[in-house]
Amino acid sequence: MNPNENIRQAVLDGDASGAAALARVRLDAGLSPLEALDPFIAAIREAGDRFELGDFFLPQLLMASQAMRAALEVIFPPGQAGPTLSRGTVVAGTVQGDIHEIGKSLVCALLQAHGFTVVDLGGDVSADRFIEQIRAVNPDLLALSALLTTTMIQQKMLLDRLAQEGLRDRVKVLVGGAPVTTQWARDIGADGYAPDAARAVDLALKLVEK
Amino acid sequence: MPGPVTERLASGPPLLFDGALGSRLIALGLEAGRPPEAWVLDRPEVIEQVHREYAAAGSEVLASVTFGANRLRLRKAGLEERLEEINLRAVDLARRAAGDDAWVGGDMGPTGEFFQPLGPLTPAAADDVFAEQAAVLARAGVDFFLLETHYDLQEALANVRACRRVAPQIPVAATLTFNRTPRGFFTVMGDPAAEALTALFQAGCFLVGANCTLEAAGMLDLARHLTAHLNLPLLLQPNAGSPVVTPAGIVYPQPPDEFCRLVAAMIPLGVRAVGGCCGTDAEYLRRLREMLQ
Repeated sequence: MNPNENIRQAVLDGDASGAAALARVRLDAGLSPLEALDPFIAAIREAGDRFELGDFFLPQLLMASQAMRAALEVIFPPGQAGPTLSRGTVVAGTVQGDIHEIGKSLVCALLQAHGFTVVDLGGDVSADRFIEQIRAVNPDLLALSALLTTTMIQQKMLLDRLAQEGLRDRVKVLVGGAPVTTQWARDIGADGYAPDAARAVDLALKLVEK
Repeated sequence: MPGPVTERLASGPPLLFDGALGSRLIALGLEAGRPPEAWVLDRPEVIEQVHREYAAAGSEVLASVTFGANRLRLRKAGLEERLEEINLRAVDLARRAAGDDAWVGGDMGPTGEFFQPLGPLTPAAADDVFAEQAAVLARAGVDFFLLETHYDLQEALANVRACRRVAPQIPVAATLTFNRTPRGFFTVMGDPAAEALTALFQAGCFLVGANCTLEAAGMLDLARHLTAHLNLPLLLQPNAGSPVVTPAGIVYPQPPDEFCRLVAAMIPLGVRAVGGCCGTDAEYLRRLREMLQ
């Protein structure tokens, strides 16, 4: 049996407490947070693939996401004191009208693991709330997720809003989400796009070095 | 009034519904993130104009701009206190455009919340929310309830039952929104299309079907699937293509000719009522009317 089969099952079954316990076991075994996270990422990818196939539906996907989140919170405890030397501050969220958070949460966890201070605003975040937090936190980066073609447009609207409010030059903007492309990022004037969480971290590191 | 809509459905050519309201209002300047219901209060003349465009194009049913006028959705928009006013005025706007030539469908949509355990919604709360809106729509004098874009059969059934209880004399039509998967057509919650529509029909709907999500070719395939398996009075209202996001806004790329040809092909299969969802406007309906006559 695949040694990570129990993790796969816990995530696909939406077993949040089981997923959290298995995450704890991996940390206790001395794995780094990123190593501990790996099989959970594989499992949540499988849940996404099954959704595409019509094998999973929204209830199964949401339950799997909740199990994934429980594991993430064990591996990267929220509110834990940031690294002594932060590489930069990120405000992140999924745009208004879009409740899909798992991709965004993954990016946040990896950014945190790489030394960023992350303010995760969650899903369905209004433009007003992003603006308010940018003013309050003064981040280096703004990371915007959208999983739906119908909510992608909110990324552009938020960028327009930043310009109107005179905030556009104060923050670098990363965009992501299943329907988002490099071309879209360019069209709307974002500073970068990454197709997955690992490359989002690479991009974030590059942008704060500039 | 042109007589009961249920009688009209039983005979004559397919019943023609209207086209998009939400995407049409966005095209006319409704700000993103604002619900169309806000314009029932602020820009009623625009809403009435859109209804009139559809009536002039030959639509026999005008849907009131009340899709999101239930307590839970209005609360998110800060319009909860104006629920009664919005529903009454919206029906009045549709009625003025309908005159004696068209029926007014009292539009109702989902609450936007999931049932427990995925979300906070309970069956009792859903029943209260739908019953409250249905009672106001009934008082406003709708010709029938038009339930649209439900994505959870359980919630759609709660909506149907609330309507039947509050106003048993008013007929109910209900359409779900289906995704196409390699395994067939399902709601996003996993309800298979044929079983779900059968359940709605058995719950007392005089017309059942699908709207939104699918463009006209996908909806035609759904029509083939449904008519091969069932003998239900079907209403199908596809989108004008799958939305393409551009920096200028969301575009629905299916041109009227292609849309109308595909929708017209549903009629010989036995589909009784058709119309358009997102991306359609009066031009689509005018051409559809021509093709159906």
